Amino acid sequence: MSFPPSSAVGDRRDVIGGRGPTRPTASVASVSRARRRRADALEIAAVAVVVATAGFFLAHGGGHDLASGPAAGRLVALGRLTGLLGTALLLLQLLLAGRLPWVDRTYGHDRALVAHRHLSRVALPLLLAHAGAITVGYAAQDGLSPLVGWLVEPVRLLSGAVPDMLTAFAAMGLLVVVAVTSVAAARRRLSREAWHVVHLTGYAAVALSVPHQLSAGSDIAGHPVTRLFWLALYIATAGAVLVFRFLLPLVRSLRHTLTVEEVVHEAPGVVSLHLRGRALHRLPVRAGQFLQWRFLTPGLWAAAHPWSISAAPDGQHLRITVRDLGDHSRRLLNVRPGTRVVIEGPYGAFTAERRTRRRVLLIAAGIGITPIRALAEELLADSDTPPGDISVLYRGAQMETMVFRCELERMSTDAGLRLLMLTGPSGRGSWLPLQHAAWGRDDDAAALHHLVPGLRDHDVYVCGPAAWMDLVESALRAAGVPAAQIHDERFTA
Amino acid sequence: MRRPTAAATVLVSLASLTLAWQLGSPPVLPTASVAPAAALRAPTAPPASTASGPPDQTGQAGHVGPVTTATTSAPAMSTAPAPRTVDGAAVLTPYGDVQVQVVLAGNQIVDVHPLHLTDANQHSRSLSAYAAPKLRLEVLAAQSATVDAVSGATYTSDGYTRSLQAALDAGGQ
Repeated sequence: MSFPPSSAVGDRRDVIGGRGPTRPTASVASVSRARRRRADALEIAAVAVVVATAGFFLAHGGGHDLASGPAAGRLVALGRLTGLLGTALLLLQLLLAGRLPWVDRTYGHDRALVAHRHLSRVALPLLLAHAGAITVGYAAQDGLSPLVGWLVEPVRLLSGAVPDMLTAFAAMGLLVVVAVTSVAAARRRLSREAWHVVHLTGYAAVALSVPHQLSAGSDIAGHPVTRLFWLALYIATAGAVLVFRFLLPLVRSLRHTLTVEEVVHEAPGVVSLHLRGRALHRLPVRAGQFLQWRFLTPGLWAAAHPWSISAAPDGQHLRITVRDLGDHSRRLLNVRPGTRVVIEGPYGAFTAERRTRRRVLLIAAGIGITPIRALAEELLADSDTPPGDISVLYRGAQMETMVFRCELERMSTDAGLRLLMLTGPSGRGSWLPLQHAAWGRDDDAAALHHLVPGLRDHDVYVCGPAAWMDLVESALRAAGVPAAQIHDERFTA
Repeated sequence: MRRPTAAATVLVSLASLTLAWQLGSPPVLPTASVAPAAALRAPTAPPASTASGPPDQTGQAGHVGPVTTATTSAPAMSTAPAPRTVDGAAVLTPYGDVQVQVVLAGNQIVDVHPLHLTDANQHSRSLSAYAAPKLRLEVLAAQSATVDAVSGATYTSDGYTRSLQAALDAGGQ
């Protein structure tokens, strides 16, 4: 086997002679099982909330109201059911986006937010159906035709003897604004900060909807058990959001008082920020995780940005490495030592906890090397890791611009990292340099087998641009790596 | 979710929802073999005299309108009775008319549908929406119009039981 000299650097001792399949160690496998059990428990809890919501409705005769009687009454019953289910899903959405440690460690921040988005596509239509069905149903009970009732009934509801209708209407309006500003087309036109401020009003929307549900909601008023269920759900959600979304970041920022210690230029447009803080050994951060960083300096304090730590934490320092991607990250290049930093996090499940096998392949492109570099450091630090068990496949345009080249080469010579640095233009539909793709007869999967002997027996961590990750992961699956051994984290939110 | 867990979750969910549906559903239709033990016992006492009715209800009789009977005729008691619906009288209350429709099978009250409930304002509407299902379950359990008023919804309860009584009087002949 021969690597083109420009693209492969480092220790390749174990390439010769390969290895038999390795078994995951007991602890590695049991951690992975525990994660699956945690996922099952969380999903069962979510299903239980929805089933209990529908169950209470049915137990109070809701199914009967829905299936028989005059049309107006059935419409109102439909409105009750959609309102209850929509609210339950909305609360689950808040929990998914609430940075709960169990959710984050089980699914990862990115996938929790994807689930949050998927749920919104069900919850919002349900809540709109609730408002519509109740309005038209009441109008029909008043003897108004749906066409007229649709216009007249809201006025009657708002001017009626139930004051909670006003807050309910405001809640619905806010939710619609939150949803509209989150549609992809609107996101492109809004700045991330503006979108975020609007999105946070979703909390206000949920709070404003509570009074009408408890007072006017005929499924809750007068049913003590149902009332208890909803109160518990609201209190648990509010408590979790308050603690994990707001209090914990505040406490951690105050406790650790992070400051910028040094700014190091790594490559053109890329800087590393070295941060120092108090009692950092108490911050439960692992290699592969990210935090939301907010630099308290003019022009930067208003926005928090997600960046992965680029070195395994040592209990006293943290390091992030940032590429200039426009707007705020450009100003970061000029951050001065001594700047205070406020943090939220750590978040993310792109950690060694995901590992199911002993051997690990880390694949990175561009600035995606930052969490990969930290993971490699943590995995190599384990004294049980034999040389050659950890491989890094690092894809870049040209050697000179590849960040951490020297650090990775040192890990290779000192700690037995298998380092493959691949440069040069890619072929069509491939993520490998042309000369590598050529050995695989234009097949990335075959080329991967060449590059990494025993590929199927590795856990593979992938970090890079989304389209590139799609190519890498399809090549990995084509090469026979089980999906459960492929780990990634995708930031689109 | 792992497949066995997912399957178990779906099964338990379906079972819970079925149970909830059963809890909230009216009793099953009576068959011919059921002795007419639960026959209608049309009470003679006015509904306003029920325990939780307010004292001012007694004097305020409320106009009881004409009773309309559904087209189906009362079947012979010896055969399995076909369910028939009877509309009760519209009872005036300070918060709007209350009228119910009763579904009878033989002498058994199978179901009660509200045709019109108190609706003077949003509050009375939500009150009656809350009281009507409770009253329905009470009536189905008691098999008579003599049931306790739902606290907080005395006018609705009063109108409901009066309209129902009128329907029973008309349909039970």
